[in-house]
Amino acid sequence: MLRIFRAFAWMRYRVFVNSLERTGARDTAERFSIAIDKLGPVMALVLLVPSALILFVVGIAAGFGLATGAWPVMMNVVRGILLVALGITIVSPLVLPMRDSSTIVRTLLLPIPRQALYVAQAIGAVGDPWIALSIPLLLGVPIGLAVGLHFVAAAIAALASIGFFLVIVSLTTLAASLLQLVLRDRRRGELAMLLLIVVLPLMGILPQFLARPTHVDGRRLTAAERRALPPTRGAEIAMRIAPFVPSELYRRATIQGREDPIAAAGPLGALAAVAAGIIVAGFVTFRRVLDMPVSMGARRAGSFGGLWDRTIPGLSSAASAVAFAQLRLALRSPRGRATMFTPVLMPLVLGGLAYRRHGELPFTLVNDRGLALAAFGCFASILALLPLAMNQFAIDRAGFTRQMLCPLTIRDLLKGKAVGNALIAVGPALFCFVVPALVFPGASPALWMSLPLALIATYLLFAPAAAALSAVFPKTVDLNSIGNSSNAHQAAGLLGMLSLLVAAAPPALLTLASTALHRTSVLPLMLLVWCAVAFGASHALFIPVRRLVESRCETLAQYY
Amino acid sequence: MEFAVETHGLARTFGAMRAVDGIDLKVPAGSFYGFLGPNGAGKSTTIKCLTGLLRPSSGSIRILGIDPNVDAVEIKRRVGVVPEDLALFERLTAGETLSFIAQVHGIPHETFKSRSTDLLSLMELTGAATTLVADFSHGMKKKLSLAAALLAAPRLLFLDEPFEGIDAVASRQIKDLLHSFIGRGGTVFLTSHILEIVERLSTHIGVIANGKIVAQGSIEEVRSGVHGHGTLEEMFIELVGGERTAVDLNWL
Repeated sequence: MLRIFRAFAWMRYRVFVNSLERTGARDTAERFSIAIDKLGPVMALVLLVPSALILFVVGIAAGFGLATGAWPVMMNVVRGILLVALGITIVSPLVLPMRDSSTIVRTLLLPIPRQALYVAQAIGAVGDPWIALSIPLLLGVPIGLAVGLHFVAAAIAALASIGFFLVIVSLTTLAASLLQLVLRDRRRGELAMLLLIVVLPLMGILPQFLARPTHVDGRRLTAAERRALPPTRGAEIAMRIAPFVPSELYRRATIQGREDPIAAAGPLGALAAVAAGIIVAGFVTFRRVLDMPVSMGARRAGSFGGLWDRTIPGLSSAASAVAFAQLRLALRSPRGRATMFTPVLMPLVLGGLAYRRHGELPFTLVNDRGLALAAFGCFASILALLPLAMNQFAIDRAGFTRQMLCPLTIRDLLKGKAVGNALIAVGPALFCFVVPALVFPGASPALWMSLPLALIATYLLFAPAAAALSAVFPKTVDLNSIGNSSNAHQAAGLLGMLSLLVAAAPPALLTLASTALHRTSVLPLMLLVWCAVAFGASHALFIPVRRLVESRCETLAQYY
Repeated sequence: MEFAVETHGLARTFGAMRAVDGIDLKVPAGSFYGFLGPNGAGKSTTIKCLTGLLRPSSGSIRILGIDPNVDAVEIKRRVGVVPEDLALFERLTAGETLSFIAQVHGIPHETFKSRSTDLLSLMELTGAATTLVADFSHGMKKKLSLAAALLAAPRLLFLDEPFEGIDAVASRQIKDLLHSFIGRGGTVFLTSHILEIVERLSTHIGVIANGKIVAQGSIEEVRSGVHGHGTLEEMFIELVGGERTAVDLNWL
């Protein structure tokens, strides 16, 4: 058994080292791009050591504080960190890249018992940073208690630490296996991802529904009045579930171990039962994954009434084909759908917040909540484009090579990509504009008219920057994931965000100036002029970008 | 003689490695040219240079009489390619892939409809026309890539291992199709490790080893240049460095 674990540990180590060493870069620009991309994991690795030391000290302080009756806040810090680790453990398989099923198939061909495979998989989870960082914290608490000369409590805390560690390690394996089971059927997997895309942003407003209301009968409550109100229904449910959450069981076992060691048996036993239950469930699920680790089912696509065969007015047939291919990529990949759906959810999320806050929004750009909502939603529609727009060539993977083999000029390729990205953003932007305009139509018509003009001008200047950064910083991505592995290159993402802010600055300044001078009626005209300037500037910027992309085509065709 | 593909001193280096080392290719128009070489000899790099996916480090290329430096798009209009990695959009369906190619080539809609129906039927992909390419088997992807290469009715086809992973029935149909393509004046530039296929189909062959052309011409010409008159396999082994010493795995 030990031999198998050693082999797995060595394999993971080599995979990690090779990912840093064997970059396969073809030119200086690519070496630079890859070096920046590798900087994140290397920095994380470097930061892991001081973080682990800090958490170890926090654990010791919490344990020692518990033993001496000092610093009760430290135990709450430990409780909070463990709760976060628990949450990340559950969510991480959803947002991190799926482990390659071919690796599982390969291990299945080796003479390794399934139980050993499961244990190896679970041990492998220790490599996840949030689990690795939990270890010094969990070690620190019993050590702190022992330093405070409470040896029985230290022993109980050590058992609770082992129990909690087993919970998070087996939970991550269970979550990963469950996800693999769901995604094994491609149709079911895509449906699950779509639900996730909808649910994740909505979770952001969950605390608002757990918190007590801020207004009653249109009157804003004081802090004392809010505290006097009974807890909300959501908060009541949360309070009923909380005692059974493993981080809470850990806290109770540790505290009771100090005060009444016999009473600590309750939460300690419950923690052990939870750990055992998750381990069994994890193993059963893992076995089911091993029974059939490959994906199945074929996805069919709609023709949209022959829309894809049409030519977009103003574009050549070739550029139009590129634009529609880009749009279909977004429509048919979980990450692309996230790009299109997340901004659409913005008005709903903010509307929910406004409902809880009696019509108040958490921010006010202008003195009208409808326009503020629309402006925020429209900007978010372009912002959500970043993962696709900032990696617009590499996301085509082998499809980029196909485009290079076709009689397609770089001019048409760039035009098609720019229009395709605009088509991806226009749906959510339109929704974010129309819905607030219908629900809260308050502000002046001139301001409402200005918003789409500002958006167009911003996009016109943003598009060449996006193409240039995509050419310089390509990254192989997995658009099936909605997490980091589908994000654009870090440098492209950061510079893209900056270029978007720069592109949005002139319309924003014009709006602010006209509002301050009470001349909003002339704002649409000013923005129309700015649109014309931005159009000219965009054309001029695309000339060097065309040359840049031409020089990078050979490299870009290798990203799949 | 008119050449569909002609190169002079074509070379491509990757750092210190010369993957293609100054080759002079001459592919007669209307020929079926088998391009052979052992693994890592430089076949795929050569095809990538010829199809415009890689820029040559030095040397010149003429495809159908056109210099790619002068009009690369015009060459792409007249050439069909089945590359090594098949180069397909994973999130388009088979029908949409062909539609994309048709739009980029500017093929009228009616012509596209009739050609795509023929090609999907020939490749036995009609039932999978609305299935995403990501869900295709390797063989299906290869057939679709071939259909994509043929859609624009090219005058020259570059096929990198086109029969690998294709079933016997489809393979037979494709061979017949390529024969009729040659009969109508087209040119095929094919690489394959299956020497029997190359021997049966090719009128001309070129053999590359270590980035250099070691033999080129009609099969008869190449055969006369090496000792004996054996099979293509025997010729090939002799040309690329002779028999390797067999390692006796006596522990097996």
